[in-house]
Amino acid sequence: MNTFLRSMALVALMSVCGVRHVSGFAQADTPQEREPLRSSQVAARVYVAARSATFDHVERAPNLIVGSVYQPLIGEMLARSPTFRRQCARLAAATNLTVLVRSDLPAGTRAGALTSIQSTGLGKIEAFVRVGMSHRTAELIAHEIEHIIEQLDGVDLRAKSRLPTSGVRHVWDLDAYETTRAIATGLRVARELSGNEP
Amino acid sequence: MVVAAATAGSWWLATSSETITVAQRDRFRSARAQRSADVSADGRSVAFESLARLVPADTDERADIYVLDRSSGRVTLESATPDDDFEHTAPRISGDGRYVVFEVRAGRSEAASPRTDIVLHDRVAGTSRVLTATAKGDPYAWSRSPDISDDGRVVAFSSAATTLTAGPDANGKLEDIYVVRLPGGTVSRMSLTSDGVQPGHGNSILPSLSADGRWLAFASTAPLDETSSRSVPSRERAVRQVYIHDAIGGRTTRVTRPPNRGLPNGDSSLPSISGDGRFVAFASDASNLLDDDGNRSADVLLYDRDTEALTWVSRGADGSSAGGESTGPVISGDGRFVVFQSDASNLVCARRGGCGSGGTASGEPRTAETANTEDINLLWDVFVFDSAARVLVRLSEDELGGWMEPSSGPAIDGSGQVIAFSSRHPIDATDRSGDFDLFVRAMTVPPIVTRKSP
Repeated sequence: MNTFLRSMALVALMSVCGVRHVSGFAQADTPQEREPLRSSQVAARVYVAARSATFDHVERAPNLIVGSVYQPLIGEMLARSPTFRRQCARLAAATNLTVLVRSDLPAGTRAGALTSIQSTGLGKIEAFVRVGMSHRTAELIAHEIEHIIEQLDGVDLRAKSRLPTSGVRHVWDLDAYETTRAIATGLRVARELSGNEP
Repeated sequence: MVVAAATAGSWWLATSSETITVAQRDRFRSARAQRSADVSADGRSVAFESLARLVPADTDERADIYVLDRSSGRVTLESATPDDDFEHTAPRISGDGRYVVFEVRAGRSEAASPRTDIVLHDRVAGTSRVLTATAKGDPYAWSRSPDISDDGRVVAFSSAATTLTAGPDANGKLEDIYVVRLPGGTVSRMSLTSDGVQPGHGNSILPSLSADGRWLAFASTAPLDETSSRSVPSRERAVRQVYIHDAIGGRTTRVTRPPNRGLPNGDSSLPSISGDGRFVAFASDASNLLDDDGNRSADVLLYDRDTEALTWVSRGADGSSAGGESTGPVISGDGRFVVFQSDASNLVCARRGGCGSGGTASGEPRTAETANTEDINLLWDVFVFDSAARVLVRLSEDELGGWMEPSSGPAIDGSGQVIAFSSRHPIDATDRSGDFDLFVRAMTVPPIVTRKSP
């Protein structure tokens, strides 16, 4: 019996060894491939778009400071909008940035929201987002945050506004810039929040 | 008469494709930086630089050279020593993936030294060779931007060194183009006029080799043809132009020729030559190379050496000028495809009904569907131009829509089936650092359908 078990174990071992030596993909052709310390079979991965865009478990960026009136809405946006979660992840990665969202849009302002961005020296950046009271508050917050991300990305709004089809235009009476990117992002967050995203 | 036609519409998007990602962890990369990857002509191997420690032997914080074997999924470290004090950058790979050539620059402990060498690594033999070794002790031993022929027997690079070849260096510490022929290692200066004369001024940079190493495209401010030497006073800053040099015939031909046969009114650079040396893709700030270029930004153009025709690659989807800058072109070995990067928003059209008049004028999305696929990020995206089908497609997107992060530095294989580029787009759900990583996209290229005209 013991001899039989030993034989079975040997057969099993041989078959495992045999599998390991079957050439499926190209085997080690170079010294680097043969040396395990210099090669990796896990460094390259298949890209999965849905996995990349999920942004699950993103919490509110610690550098996104929101007035108490907007905190429930921000929580809802985080819970329901992957696009807003992407925005929060991007803000959180910018450790030199502080974003303050307030509801004190000056009276008489034509825009629904305005953002001003300033450098405070030593590489620190402060962004002030002023949002008016509106049924579009979620859209407006996401819209303004996208403007901040545009600046983190180094978009030259002035230069682009001079080109006719760049997606940036100068709003002369406000001396401000509007972008297709911020408009689309705000609308997308609003759709995701309302459950209407296709 | 035989004319070429191809599947119409968004054929590329309909084809199956798979994307592989590898971490580069490059948070310092500028989208304008030289490309950090190259694809072998056979499409199997992708050489790239990475700051990530992808294998156990990589223990430093420096940029290293790796090769991804697409057939096995294996990534290997190719830089000579993993824990040395050198940066390894700008890899280029031979047609079958056996040879990798790259820049080696002294790291922090030798920060004062500007020396950069060109190293050739044989992945089969496991040996490395410094191709710029003869410039040892040369105070201007700064070499960069290597390229390699498909068979690995010719390597080109630019260098400020004055001692790589025998005899005087007429332009001193200004850069010239050099070629090393292997295995002998003979170094020759190639940035010469058709008479074999090295001008006394002007910089020559960014060489690109044809498959057999015979044809060499490069950018230069040196007066290398008759028109340039007649028109440019040596004390003025010369316009950078693109040239092709024939290593066998010795002839140097200027590519950047406006229709009026004068000189271009802006710089041209970053040439990439096809395998047979017939086509050259390049970027140009000049607005007088084409009759209707009105955007005052850099464009990507394609030159046909046989017909001397220039094709406007980075053109708006409605035929207008691009609304931004386009640069970094790389041509496939067969000359059919050109990949490049652009921050223009109007190169592709996602609108229903196409980009007719007024289609992109407002620049604002009209529907939820178009908002997902329209190019709205205002950042660098990667595009591929099919010169046979006259189709331009954005690659920095997926089935969920256009990426909101910048993508740059594309490279392409011999037949346009494998394209690599870097992007700050997340490679997975845990990638939140916003750094550049490598994306390798394998495409199914539709055949060109040929038919006889009636």
